[in-house]
Amino acid sequence: MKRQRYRMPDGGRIDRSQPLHFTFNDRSYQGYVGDTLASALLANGVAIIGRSFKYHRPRGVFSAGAEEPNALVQLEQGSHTQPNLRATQIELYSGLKAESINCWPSVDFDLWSLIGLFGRIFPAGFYYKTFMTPNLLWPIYERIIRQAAGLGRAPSDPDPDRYENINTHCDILIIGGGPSGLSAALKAGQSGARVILADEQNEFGGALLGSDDEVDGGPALDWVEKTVGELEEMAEVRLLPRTTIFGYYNHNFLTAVERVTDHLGVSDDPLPRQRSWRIRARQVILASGAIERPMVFENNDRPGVMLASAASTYANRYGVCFAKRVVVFTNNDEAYRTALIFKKFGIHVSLVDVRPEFNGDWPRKATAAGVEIIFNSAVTGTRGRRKVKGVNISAFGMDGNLGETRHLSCDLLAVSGGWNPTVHLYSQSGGTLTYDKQRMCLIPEKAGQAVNVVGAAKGTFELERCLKEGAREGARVAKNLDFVGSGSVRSKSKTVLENEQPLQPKWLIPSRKHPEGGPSHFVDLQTDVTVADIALAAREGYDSVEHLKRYTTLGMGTDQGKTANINGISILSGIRGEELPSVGHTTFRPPYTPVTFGALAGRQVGQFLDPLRRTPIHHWHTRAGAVFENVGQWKRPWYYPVLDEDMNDAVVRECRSARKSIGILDASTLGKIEIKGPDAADFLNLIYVNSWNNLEVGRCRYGLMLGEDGMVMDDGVTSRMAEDRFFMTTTTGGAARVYSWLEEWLQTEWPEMEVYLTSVTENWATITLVGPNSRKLLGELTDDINLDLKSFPFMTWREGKVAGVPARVFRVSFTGDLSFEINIPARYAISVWTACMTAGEKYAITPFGTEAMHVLRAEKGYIVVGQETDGTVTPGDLGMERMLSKKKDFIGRRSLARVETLRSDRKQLVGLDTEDPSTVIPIGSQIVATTKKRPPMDMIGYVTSSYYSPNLKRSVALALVKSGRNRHGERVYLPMENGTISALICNPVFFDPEGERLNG
Amino acid sequence: MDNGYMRQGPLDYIPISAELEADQGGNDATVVLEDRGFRGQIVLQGKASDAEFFDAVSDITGLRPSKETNVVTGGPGFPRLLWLGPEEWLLVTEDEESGRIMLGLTNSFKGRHVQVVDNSDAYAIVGVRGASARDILAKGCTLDLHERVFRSGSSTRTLLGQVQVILHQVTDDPDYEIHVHRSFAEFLWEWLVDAGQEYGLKTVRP
Repeated sequence: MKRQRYRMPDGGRIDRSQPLHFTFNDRSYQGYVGDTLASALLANGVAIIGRSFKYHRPRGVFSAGAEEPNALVQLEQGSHTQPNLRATQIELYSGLKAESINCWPSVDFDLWSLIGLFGRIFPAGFYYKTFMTPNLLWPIYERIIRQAAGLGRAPSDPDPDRYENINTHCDILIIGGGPSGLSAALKAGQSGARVILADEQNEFGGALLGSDDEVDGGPALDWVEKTVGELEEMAEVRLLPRTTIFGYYNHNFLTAVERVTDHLGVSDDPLPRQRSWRIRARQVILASGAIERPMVFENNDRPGVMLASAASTYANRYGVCFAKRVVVFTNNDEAYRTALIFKKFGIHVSLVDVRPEFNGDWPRKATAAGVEIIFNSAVTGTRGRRKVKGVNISAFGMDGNLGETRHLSCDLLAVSGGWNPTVHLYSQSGGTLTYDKQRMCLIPEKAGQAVNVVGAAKGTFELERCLKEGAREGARVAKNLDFVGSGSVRSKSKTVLENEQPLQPKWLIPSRKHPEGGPSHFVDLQTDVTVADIALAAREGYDSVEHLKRYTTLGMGTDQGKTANINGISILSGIRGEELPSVGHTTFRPPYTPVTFGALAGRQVGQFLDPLRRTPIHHWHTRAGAVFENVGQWKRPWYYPVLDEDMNDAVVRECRSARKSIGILDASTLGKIEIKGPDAADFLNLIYVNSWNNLEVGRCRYGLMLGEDGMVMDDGVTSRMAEDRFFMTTTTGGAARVYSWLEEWLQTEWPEMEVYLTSVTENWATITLVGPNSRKLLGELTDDINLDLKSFPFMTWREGKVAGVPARVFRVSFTGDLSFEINIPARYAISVWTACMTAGEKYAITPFGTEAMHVLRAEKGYIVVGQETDGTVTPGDLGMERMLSKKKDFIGRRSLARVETLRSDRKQLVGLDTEDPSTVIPIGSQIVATTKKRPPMDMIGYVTSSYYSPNLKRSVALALVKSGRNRHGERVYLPMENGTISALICNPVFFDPEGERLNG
Repeated sequence: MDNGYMRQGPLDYIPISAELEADQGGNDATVVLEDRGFRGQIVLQGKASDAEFFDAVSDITGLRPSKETNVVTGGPGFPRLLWLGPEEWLLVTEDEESGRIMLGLTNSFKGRHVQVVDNSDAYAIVGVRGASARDILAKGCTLDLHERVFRSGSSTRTLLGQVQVILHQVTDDPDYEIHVHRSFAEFLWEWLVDAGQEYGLKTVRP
């Protein structure tokens, strides 16, 4: 364990009484509660955190926040591992383990860094140009490139952590808890509005956390504490620290990720690791602050080069100072603060200002403090191999020419090129941006949604003005929503220094080495895009910002170019010789910072991925050892193996019993709809292809439903309960769709029809008895339904009691055998089922599952919508044209008159009689009339259903074949991987074609 | 017919911790999940312009169907009449009462264009009550359930944990009742139990 060499003895928002141990690249270090991984590494003198994306150059901590391009690490190991996290945003916890990414064999000695020596041959577009030919070699190229260039590793094991999604609504969402956001939240909160204040850091305060500003005559952080305390007391204010708003969508819908337990490390806490919030806000106040802009000069990427505000933050907030000599390089006033802070700690500071000498409060104060100011000059390059040891500076006049070079030694170079408002979310929301020539940055122009921008996010950089703007907007936005409250007096901050000298728009500093000559002047540190790349792209015609981005990868790293884009665009505008606004900017897209897939998925994983539906008899099936099949969201018994039966054995047994004696099926999943009204029969006439007026009460009819395109959409039996009342059944999978379909027609097309619909699918359990003994069995369970053939013929229904329970019994059949569908209220389902099982014991009653059901119906050539049909099949294709009523209109009728639907060579339903009766053709097999040695062959159809029929002791198959009905008796072939199956086209009804068994 | 032993509730197979089965358990929990058992649930559809329909419902049930969106008449006792749509209501009664009321309604509407359907077994009813109830629902429901917007006496059809439900706030506690299709009941129950883990949710069967 090493001492924290660069930790100052006091100061900062860390708790020196609570040391934390952690490891980085297998070495142990110590930090404190309140540290980030970045601050703790800096305190321990770890300068190189990782290697760069392309050239593998050593890189250190560059910023202190979300904009970090360099200090990306692999956090934790195994299933907990996470790639590419910003060390600047990882809160330190005890036992933390992190590693560098993109280096081999180690971060200190990286062989891939040799690439850097040949940088000239790896320009932008290099991959496109070099690896394009021959095509066959691309997989090999790709593998090598992936190893050489890249970031961290994704975990390969399932994520063991828990995540949540949560929805919320508020009147005002305030994004950012800095001075403007806090002032706005206070006013908005006092008004009584429902307020959410979200901030990405672990504590509120924003930029104040790293500064030494004053508010209301005391330290700014005292004001922060007081304000947060007041907000916590407000019932309708929700504070969300550690929460990044990462997306801003239509209708003021925003998404956020809250890091709930990340800062506790790997734990078994019942709390989720992260929560993703879906926020619907009436109004948004965007107080997202600003990000400092770096300068571009030779070797500006060395460890030890850092944003000026970050250098201040590490000193002020984390008590870290690893420098003995500091050079500050700036084109604006703000960096003078950094110089003063380091001076306060007794460190030697030189300040290089590209601007001509001026008289102002800042230079006066800096000079008085002992800062050496070098005006009219620029840092033209850094020295040092693994980290900065010194800088070259030259006079740099308005003409852009460099003067003589002199050398200054230093171990920290703090750079500031001004500030870019964090307008990402504003832009995402549809707001337009404009280039502010005075402040030299993109600022919000015209809002696209209910969003109000305050503070640095709109280019207001002075603390006093931020406080004022925040309070004003907080109150105004609340008032517009009719919330007016009594508030305290607004907080004030003395503007410390006046007479500010405007920023000088210079970011690119030339050097002796031409900046366009090779990788030296880095614009995008994360993706290793240099000035040379931008120049090359422009030369080759990629000089629109969107092309530039894609050709060079500028701004395409995980940081999305937060410190790179504006510099890149301004360098491009220089090359194009145009003003910056006419060059434009690329689109800001969510997420603002990367979001884990876990947080997006929430708990919608594993057993909660998709809802699961169980029938009322489900738990009986489970106990009977049923194997289940997923049918949509339903779990349906597939087959019921007995002892050591396999699926085939079980299905054979179930099929035989159903035809020989009696089988019992849980058909509760069938869709059921009650239809009532004086126009009910007319309505059915329009919905179904066949006619319903003449159906007598007590009778049932099979109906076929078409879409407007004339294609079969659903089928089922509908029964007449009363003159104005019908009971419709639909397919299991079609239940919800058909109900919506009927409602849509009634509500939008035929509102004059007096018809009401209620879905009763879930109210009724359906138990189907199948087989010659089913009448006998049912007779034992009911005494008020006359079951004899005459009183209860096929396609009728009766009401009565079955096993003591009020029931509706339907004499319909999906197997071709005598069959009764018993409908009972779901609460009695298991009782009635059990009664059937008990009474049926003497008939060897056999529960059968969906597989046997399919065999039985395929033996009869009965279709299943969705299996024999796929949305391109007409009633005629199925041989059901006789069902089509000619006396009335119905949905889809007109489409059946189209030339295409009348073609005689349409695919039609047939049976297939295999040459070898034991061959079961795989479902989906393609059918040809003549075989060739190899594909392609002319395909004339395909197999839709295919099973082995134990009752017929042979295979049965249904198929759709071109002109199939005219081809009965023709031989066709099914070319398979191992040989060809031969079959004759035949009638699709294989079993009991006369239908003699229907009556038992 | 003995309803007692012959019937099976949709949540009967869910393990519910025994020591909490006596209702006094779980009162210290911030959120309690409860199987509310059998109820009569009758769907009523009739025209908004049909005054006699409203009168008849009022005569038989003592409740006048609300014409106002998402408003429940009656409650927290029984019966309650939940607004489901412009011409659709769900009458919730005590289980023993449903047969009598169903009969009364059916007889009274003979020859009228009104639909009365006994859908009692179509839904399980799950109670969620306690200080954290709203937070749990927010995990799977996108509607604003804040008391300024959705209060006791409000009901709505919505999605909860991807499942279609009828959500009714019964009292200010808050106490919510979720009418969920029977087939989804176990899924939703397990989803709620999991959602309540961080709040120390307890489960109760009355």
